Amino acid sequence: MFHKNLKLGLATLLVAGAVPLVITGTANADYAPQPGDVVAVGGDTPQYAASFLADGDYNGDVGYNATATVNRLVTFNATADANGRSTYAKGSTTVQLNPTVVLRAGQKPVQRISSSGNAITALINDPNETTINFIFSSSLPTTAQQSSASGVGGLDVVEIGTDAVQIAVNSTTNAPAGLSPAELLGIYTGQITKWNQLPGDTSTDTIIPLLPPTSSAIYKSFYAALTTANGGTAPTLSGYTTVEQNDPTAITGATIPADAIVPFSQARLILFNDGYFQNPNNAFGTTQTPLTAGINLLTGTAPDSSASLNVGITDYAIYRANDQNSTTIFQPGGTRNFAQTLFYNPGGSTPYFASNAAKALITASGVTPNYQYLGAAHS
Amino acid sequence: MKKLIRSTLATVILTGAGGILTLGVSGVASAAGTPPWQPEASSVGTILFFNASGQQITGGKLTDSPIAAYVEGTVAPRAGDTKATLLGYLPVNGQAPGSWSGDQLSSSTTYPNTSAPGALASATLPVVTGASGDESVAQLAANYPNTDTSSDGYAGIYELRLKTTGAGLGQTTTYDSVDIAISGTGASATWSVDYPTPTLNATSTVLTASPTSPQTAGTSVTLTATVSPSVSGTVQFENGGVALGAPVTVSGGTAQLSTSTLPVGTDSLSAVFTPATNLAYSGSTGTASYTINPAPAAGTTTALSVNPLSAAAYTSVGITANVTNTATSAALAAGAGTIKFYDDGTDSTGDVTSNSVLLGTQSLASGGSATLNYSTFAVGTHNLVAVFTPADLATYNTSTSSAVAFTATTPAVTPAVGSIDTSIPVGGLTISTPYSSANPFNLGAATLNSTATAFVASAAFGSPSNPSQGVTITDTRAGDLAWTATATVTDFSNGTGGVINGQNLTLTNVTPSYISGNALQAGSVSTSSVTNSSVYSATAAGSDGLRGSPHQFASASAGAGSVYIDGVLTLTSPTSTPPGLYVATLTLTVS
Repeated sequence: MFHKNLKLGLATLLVAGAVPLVITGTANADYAPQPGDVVAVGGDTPQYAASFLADGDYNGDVGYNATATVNRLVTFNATADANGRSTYAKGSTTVQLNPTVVLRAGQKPVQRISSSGNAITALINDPNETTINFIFSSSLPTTAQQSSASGVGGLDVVEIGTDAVQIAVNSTTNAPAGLSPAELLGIYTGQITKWNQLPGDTSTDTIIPLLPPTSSAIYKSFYAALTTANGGTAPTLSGYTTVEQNDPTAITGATIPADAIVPFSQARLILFNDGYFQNPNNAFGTTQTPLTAGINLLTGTAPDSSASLNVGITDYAIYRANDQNSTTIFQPGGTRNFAQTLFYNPGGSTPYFASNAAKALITASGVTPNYQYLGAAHS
Repeated sequence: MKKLIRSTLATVILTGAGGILTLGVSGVASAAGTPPWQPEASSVGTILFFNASGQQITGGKLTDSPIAAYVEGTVAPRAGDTKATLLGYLPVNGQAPGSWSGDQLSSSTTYPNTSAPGALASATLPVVTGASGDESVAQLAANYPNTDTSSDGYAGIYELRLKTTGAGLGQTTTYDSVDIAISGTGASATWSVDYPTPTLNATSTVLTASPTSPQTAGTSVTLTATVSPSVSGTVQFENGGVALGAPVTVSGGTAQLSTSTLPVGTDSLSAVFTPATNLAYSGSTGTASYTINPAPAAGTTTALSVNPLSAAAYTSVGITANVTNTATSAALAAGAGTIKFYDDGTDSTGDVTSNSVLLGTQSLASGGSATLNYSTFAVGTHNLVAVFTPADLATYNTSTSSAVAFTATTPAVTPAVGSIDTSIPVGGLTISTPYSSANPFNLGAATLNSTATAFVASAAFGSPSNPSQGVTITDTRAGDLAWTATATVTDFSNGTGGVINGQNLTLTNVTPSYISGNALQAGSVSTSSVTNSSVYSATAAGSDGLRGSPHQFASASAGAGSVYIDGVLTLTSPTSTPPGLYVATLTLTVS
């Protein structure tokens, strides 16, 4: 009989003072994956899609593990906090604590993989390729990363769905209805620092630009949009604060929330608006109330009459290509390895990530399902 | 205890979208009975399957996706849950059911599903709504081949489980389950509920007929079978157990067949409903008695036309009758009857009385028409009438035309009407020979036969080269009458007490010789020999040979003229016969 609680213990400590801190607890995993389990780590943006695919969603849709009685699919979120909250001090670029996680039973805690970029690196650097089986990522491997993975046949990519990056603002904000890539280029390069520098805006407040870590997919997608707005030249960003990606508290906890902006996952906000996240101040066993994000995404027309930033982002599952042909069968009595079971099974039954069940789970995470096998794709 | 025979299974090979999908499904017929893992502690109920119309099914094709349009658990594993999911597992001997491997076969779907058909829409029990693309049993079997070939009860069996969940709630540990067996190979491979044994739902079939009984032969009768509950299948309509056409597909709970060929009498009609394959319903039969009365003879209409309507007396006039079926206006077929043409003189009522003069009778020709050309109308008005008499009074009624007036005018030159007569003589029928008591036919001297057991005397009674030396028959009668020629002989006597029995005289090789210029020609006359079976003593009684009752030796059915009949007369006498000249009288008769 298995009793596997995949939720990680979380100790939240609120310290009153001039600089309030939200500190995530140690990644003291309640369940450490067994040798036959398939383990995945990844970025913040696709983490809920991955989590739902493994264990089901909050709407009652069961995930892969509903059927798996022996070997299970275990996904570790990028954030130690199940609400996806920041590990950064408010207004600081300093990571307050590097949460850790035990990726396999018997192993020692290691630093939690917290972004898509880090996940790809972790997959490539996994000693003996036995700890991490695949990653969920909003970024494709680079050409160099594909080359680095040549020892394992390269990296195979499966697209599971699409998301969008838009600009999040506080529910009460001084921001206009939209901010175009050109205007955001000015803000994040320090050329525009106050709202009244934007046409039609009269606020004299200083804009508080926030950005997720450079390794995050949100950052990369956003930076790529700014590069395009800069005529193809990579801009030098300045004057911004690094925060956890897709964390509304980065906005609502800013010095002046009404002046804060940050690129944000549309899917993540859907989860907030659907009431998935609960107020962490309520102890387990007491009445739970939905956690309101307190933010909105800018979708109106920007002051320069352009459309507000809306960058498509794709969520992927990435695994070692050699695993596609592995003779190690995933489930006892079965015929498929884990890659064939989950990702790509040419000539055979539909892999789980392409199944009807998976589509419902991916949709529940706010991501639009769009299964595609992309092979050795790279950015 | 259920009595189950699980199917013998073999490797199943299916062509999948991406190539060959090999289902390593193998096994042998397992022992009948409850699967060894049943009752299963975590299973709280069973599973029922339904097609898209909401009809319960007990199986399907291995490749069906979804396995069933709707899957209902018979017991809710947990009250308040709102989503149900179908899972499939491979039972493995030696492993607890909770450790079996399997696949998720469906999405987790919300129930009750108000879009589901029938009672499923309001079912409070958990219902999985299948979707295209859901995993099939074939895929489940491909992913988890059942390689058990023993008779341990695991061979060829998979278990399907229905689990429920609710928003924010985890899965239940209990579930509804059913065990299915797969059989067949390739595209025809199927799955069927194995445990628990499905209970077939009863159906009823009501047979009605329209119009209501009785009706006459040829009436189009529509038979309607109403099947309840409304499930898919076919209805075979029958009369007395004999099929009426092909099976009819049930649509909307009914099947109909129209026929106009029900036989006359009381027909025992039935509608035999057979559910579609895999439906969890039993068949049923509806019956009805229906009476077909003979159809009345069809009415006829006789129309008469005369061409010309006016002409000089003694001119040829064409009188034509056309007969049609009154109901259909179709012309009657040739030979359907005869037309009698009457002249009613000045009577224009169109009836036929004893005063009517029959002008002639014609058979109905093609197109239902008959024409009489008549050329001896006297001067005056002639109201002509045609009367149709059907060949079969059960098929058609008689009919009489309206009178059509023909006016015979005075000819420019009155024809001289005379008469010519003749008489045919009765004629006669004669038979003759050249012989008489004064000129007897001589058989010649008798000689001992080769065995010295009898005396034999024989001579040709006429011959082909001299046919007139036999019998000559001449028929001059009028009317082509038949005739029969016979012969009889007395005993031979030598006048001194010696007697040779007349039964010892025979006439053989009887042959007609035809005479040119006569009606009697080859084939006209049939002949036969007159023989005996022994050599009789003088005193033996009987009518063998030519003695006694006249013996036929020639006949003709018709034909006038003369014909020769030749033959061979042979007399055989015992060796005890005294010597001498023996004489008998041979009488030849034709009638």
